[in-house]
Amino acid sequence: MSLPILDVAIGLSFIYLLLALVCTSVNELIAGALKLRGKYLELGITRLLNDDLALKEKLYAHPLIKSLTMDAKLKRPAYISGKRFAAALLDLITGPNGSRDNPTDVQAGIAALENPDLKIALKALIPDPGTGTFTAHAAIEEWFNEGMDRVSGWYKRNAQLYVVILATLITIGLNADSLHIARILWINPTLRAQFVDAATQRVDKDRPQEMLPLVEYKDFDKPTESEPVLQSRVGLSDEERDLLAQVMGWDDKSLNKAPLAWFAMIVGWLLSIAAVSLGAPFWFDTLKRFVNIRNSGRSPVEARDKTA
Amino acid sequence: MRPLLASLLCLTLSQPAFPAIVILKRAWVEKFQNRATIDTRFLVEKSHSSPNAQKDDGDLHFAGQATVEIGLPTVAELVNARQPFSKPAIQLIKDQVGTGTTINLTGVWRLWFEHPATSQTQFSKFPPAKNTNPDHSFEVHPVLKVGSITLEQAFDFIDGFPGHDAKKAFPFYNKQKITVRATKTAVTLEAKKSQFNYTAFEMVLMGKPEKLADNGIAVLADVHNDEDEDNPLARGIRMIFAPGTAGAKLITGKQAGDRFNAIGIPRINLHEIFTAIKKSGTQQFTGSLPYEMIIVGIKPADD
Repeated sequence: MSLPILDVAIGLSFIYLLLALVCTSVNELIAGALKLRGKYLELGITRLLNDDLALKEKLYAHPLIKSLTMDAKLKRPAYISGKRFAAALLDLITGPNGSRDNPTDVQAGIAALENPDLKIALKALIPDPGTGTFTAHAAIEEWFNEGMDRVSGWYKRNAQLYVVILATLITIGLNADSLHIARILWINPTLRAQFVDAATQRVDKDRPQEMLPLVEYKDFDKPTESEPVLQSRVGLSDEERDLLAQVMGWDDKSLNKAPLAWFAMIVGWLLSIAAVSLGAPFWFDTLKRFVNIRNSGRSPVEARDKTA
Repeated sequence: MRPLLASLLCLTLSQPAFPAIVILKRAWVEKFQNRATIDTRFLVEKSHSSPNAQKDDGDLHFAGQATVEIGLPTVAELVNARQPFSKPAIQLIKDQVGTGTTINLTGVWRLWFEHPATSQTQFSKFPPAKNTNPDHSFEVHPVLKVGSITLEQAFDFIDGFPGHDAKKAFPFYNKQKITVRATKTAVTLEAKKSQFNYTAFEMVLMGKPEKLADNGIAVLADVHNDEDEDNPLARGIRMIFAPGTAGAKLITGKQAGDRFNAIGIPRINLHEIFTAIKKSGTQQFTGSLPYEMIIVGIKPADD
């Protein structure tokens, strides 16, 4: 089924997929370079300890926490379990002469804390002596886990915000105006055909990284032996880059526009930003559906393939 | 323009489901990656008084903990619990509630984010279950043995309950993602809430069955798509058979190309997780959720 409108949809989906892949790669690089996970964890711990920065530093310096970093020079791990946090905090509270297994030592340690808010929080959290240290450990662990749930929410909300910001920068930087691109693809059948060919190759080639299976079975008679799939980044080919350059970019003509044309371009940018923010897996699936409709007239059910 | 409209709709209407986290001991993952079942000393904390209605699956649920072998809030489920042979087992389970003593319980281990808590760490201390459906990602389902009562014959199709449609369930399973972080001692799994227990499907074997460490059986199979023979609903899915069941006996000695109708339950494929983390080290990665099907009932496709 070859319809111009379907081919334009394939072209647009293909462009959004490529831009989303660029966006994902840049986002990963930024998150890794800025150590965002570790920073959010630290922020969550700081809030949990009621901004007791001295205690936070002691906590991160505790061997139970320090040993979590891959490199001894790095001070901040990206992940701490509730169990480990509780053990380290109780150990700090009870001090070198106390025992975190002794309810009296735990209560005495809490009473000796300098931060009044943290003292109140831990007193409320841990019942009076006599109920056993285990309760204290479990209560702190639960408290930490609840706190980390909130941190996870902060991180995800901000990660989505970063994606939108990156999508905006990429869209404007490349002048990826959806309305302009759709118009070019609509009026230029040769270019449209090139995009459809490249999109078909992309669909056949690979899925975005996060949709890949983890392993493949080389020998079907051995279901207990598999090999990991290389989780490589999916880069843009030269042909794909050349195609993108034909429908987007800045030149004198795109800068010297009438006010109405500028308005249309901004609308086109907004559509592109919204689309790119949806992510590569969404556009891969959408593109695959469009290509399947074009090839066979219907959309087959997605099949998962873990075979070599 | 359809994708543009779809994108705008998604941006304005969708709310992503919150991911759940389970932190497992790495040694435990390694031990159970190629086993169908788990043997436990199980403390029954809550039990249904009677099985679900037959049209709803006919299962009997009971909740509790096996602090030594599992270390996670657990729900165990008897399949075909309305059949007469299940009565002694049900009585034994109900008698155990509130006694504070454990019983021997063997069944198929099942890790699946169907009723997950926000975060659970294996072998932490968990409060007793307040009902038969506490927040949990771990099940013993189906149960194979309670005390000295064996329930191998319960592994069968469920009269009056056809199971979910494979054409809905497998595309759903295939689209799920998982994020994995590993250390030398722990494996953290992060995924969204999942669904579709008991799915009915036709499978075509890709190779020979292989015996597992606990005498269960695993075999790779395609999940057949009756609307398009060339495009299976899923390819290369590991099918798991509990030891001693009729299914395990039926599948033994079968060959690539043999076809069967089955009803099964999905679980996370720990073998694939473990293979992946051996390669990734401590690097976090996200990929397609690895799953395998626990076969509850099976028969040759031409029956």
